[in-house]
Amino acid sequence: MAQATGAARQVGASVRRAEDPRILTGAGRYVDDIVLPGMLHAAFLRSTYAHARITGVDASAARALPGVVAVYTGDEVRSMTQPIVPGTAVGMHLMPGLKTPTFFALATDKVRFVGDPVALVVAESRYVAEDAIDLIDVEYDPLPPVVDAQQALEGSSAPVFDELGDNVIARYPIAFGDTDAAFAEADRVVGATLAVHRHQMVPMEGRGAIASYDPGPGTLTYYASTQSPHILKLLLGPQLQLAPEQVRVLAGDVGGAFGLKTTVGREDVMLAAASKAVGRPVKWIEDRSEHLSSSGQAREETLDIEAAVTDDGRLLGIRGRLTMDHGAYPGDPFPASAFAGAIVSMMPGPTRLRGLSCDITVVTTNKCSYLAYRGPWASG
Amino acid sequence: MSEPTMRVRFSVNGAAREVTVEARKTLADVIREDLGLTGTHVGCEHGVCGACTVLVDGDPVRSCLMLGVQAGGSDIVTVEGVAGDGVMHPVQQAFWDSHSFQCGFCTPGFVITAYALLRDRTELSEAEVRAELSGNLCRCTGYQSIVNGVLAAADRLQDAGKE
Repeated sequence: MAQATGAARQVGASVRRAEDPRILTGAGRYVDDIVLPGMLHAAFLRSTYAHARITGVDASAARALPGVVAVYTGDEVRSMTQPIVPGTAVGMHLMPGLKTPTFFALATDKVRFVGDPVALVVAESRYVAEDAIDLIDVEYDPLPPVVDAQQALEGSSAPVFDELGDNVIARYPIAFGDTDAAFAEADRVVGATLAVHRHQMVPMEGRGAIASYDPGPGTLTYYASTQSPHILKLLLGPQLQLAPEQVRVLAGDVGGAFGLKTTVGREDVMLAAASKAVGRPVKWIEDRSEHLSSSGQAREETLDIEAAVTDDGRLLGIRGRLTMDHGAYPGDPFPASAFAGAIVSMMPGPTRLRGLSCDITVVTTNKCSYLAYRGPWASG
Repeated sequence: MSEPTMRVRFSVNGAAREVTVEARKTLADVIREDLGLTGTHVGCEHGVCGACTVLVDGDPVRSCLMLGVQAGGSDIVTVEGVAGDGVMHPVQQAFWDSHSFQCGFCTPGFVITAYALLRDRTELSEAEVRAELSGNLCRCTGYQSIVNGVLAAADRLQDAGKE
């Protein structure tokens, strides 16, 4: 077999990227750079409470504002979309030990974190859409917020999802090898508690998309800042009662994601539903403020471990208990509970262990949802 | 629509332009939407990230913190105006060679900041480059490759000046 030599050799060579000249000269094509004929602009009204029942929404002043085309609230979303049952498109909801709540793209009965989308305004410009947001009156009946895992595990904490009964959304064991044998062989057992604080992805470009529904053939074209166009195609269709072949997703340049943009947001579902309802393209570009409150978060786990070790410095086995703060809504199609198992699986790194076992507990809290962020525990 | 509008005239990348815009509209949105120059990016909308940096009368400014109507009569340069006659500026070429970005969303702001910096002087230490770039945020690179790109561009501009 011929050896690659000279110009053909790529390993170890510094190879310039093909896309760089257009990005350097301002000719990149990120989602906010796309303008479609007849395009409208959307803005979300978001909850200012971490946990509250919605007792009334008055959007009449917003609907009367010149330039506003439509305002959708929890009352409308029930008839515009199917309820979201996270994970069903890829079977994640079948994971043993996992409870799966059902919810909508907009808050209907209650809000579950500061930033929870409560209403969507569609208008002739983003400026007018934001004006209209200020004119919507929402009445809240505040509930005690669940602020951390410890509180979530207390029986007295108010359930984030009433139908789950409590705030434990997943509980399952994970085990590899023969952990009991490793501990029987150990010279000694040492313990440690590893706690990781909450993180956020914060790409330079927030989330954003343009939904363009064509009522003639009944097709949706979705331009998105996404890492996962096929997941969008798979999930948006059922939400709007469209077959996958009626949904086309286009991803151009993406201004960073770090895992965040693998998930289909409730905002994606609402935007697509809005375009279907008004019959025109609708653009939503997340601003930095709503990105920080609402896009996604990650980490915030506590891992209590016991390690079986030998006097000559070998690590034989680990037993652990992992508690994860899941935030409010499970990600679709990858609920945070699935990442808990990944943390434990990846934890030994290259170390050869005789056995590893861990009891995992995942709890819901009134925080922004836990979504994908780089490799679980693989980086700060 | 009751929002007041104003007619604004300015020079953009060397060409005379005239637009009618809402008085409340930011310069960043005027550049992107009314002038159609989408190379200028909006990252934070409150003057922190520097992605929207453009030159106004030669000075780098945050176009998200300035109203479009305030730029009337000014000379504006955006990232689209940095290359000349289809040839990349040494800053752009050095950024390409040095892999000075990954996603590229912050890049137009870095290009404008570096372009203005190296127009004024090319004798710069690494610490000075880091200080000058401190108003621009990147989330992908860790900055090392951006600093390398600016230093490489400074070297090339110095060499060109000696010829």
